[in-house]
Amino acid sequence: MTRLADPTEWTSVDVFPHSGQTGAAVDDSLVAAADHRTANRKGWQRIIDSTLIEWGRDPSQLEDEDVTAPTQAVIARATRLAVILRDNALAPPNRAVTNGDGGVVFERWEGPVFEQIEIADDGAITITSTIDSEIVRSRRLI
Amino acid sequence: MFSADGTEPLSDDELLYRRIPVSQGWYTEGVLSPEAYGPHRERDVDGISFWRAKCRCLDEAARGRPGKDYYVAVIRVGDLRERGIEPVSTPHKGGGGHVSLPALNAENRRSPEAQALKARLCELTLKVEGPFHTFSAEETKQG
Repeated sequence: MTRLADPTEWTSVDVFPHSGQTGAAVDDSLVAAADHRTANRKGWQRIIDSTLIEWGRDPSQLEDEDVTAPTQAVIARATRLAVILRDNALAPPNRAVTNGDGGVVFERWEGPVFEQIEIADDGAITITSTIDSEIVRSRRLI
Repeated sequence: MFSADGTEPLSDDELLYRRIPVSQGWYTEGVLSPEAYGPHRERDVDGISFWRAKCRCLDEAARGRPGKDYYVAVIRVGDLRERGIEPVSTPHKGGGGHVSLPALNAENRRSPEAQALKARLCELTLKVEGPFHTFSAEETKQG
């Protein structure tokens, strides 16, 4: 699956498959589809501005007991990925958190669905989807 | 006869506390992240840590790095056991009442099984209390 190694080619199916956002539906009007994409871009931008840039400015704020904070390089990698997914107007996460192990995680939830994109400190990117706390999908993209 | 120093067997109706650093963003909008139950790569060789509610109050369980804030997740022993997750009393330099979950440890922390277990623990979490502040020496001096 070398195609998945390039985040610019990822689709909603690859990223947050249960977001219900697989692009404009056949019966969507063009205006509705455009609104949808704008909202998605804004969602990613909010995460970039409110969390990732703040972390990048001062990663020491993430240092705490019993956690390994992400380095500036890992935060930069997560930010680059967020920018690509924003530009592709894919469904945005609700929040960005650390994984406590030197990585960053984008989390999205809706009803019983909880999905994560993890950017590990070794560069691996993994997507995990759970429904009612049961894993329905776990896939390493990079 | 068992000792009552915090190492006695756990009963089903006991509550356990897990400290959650506010700094990591693991509890926002009333939604707890599975990462709150992630093992530390060095310190959680024997499993992730909890404190017994009968041995520590919430304030004590929340205590961490001076100047930082912490939530405390509350989970019931019987609920863990019903899902086949067995907590065990483990000695700890921080005092009596320490409990570990051997099934979720430093070695398996990146496995799909660990991911599933973290999600399950979120589901079993009864509530999240706090945040509680850990005062630094300077803050204490300033009153």
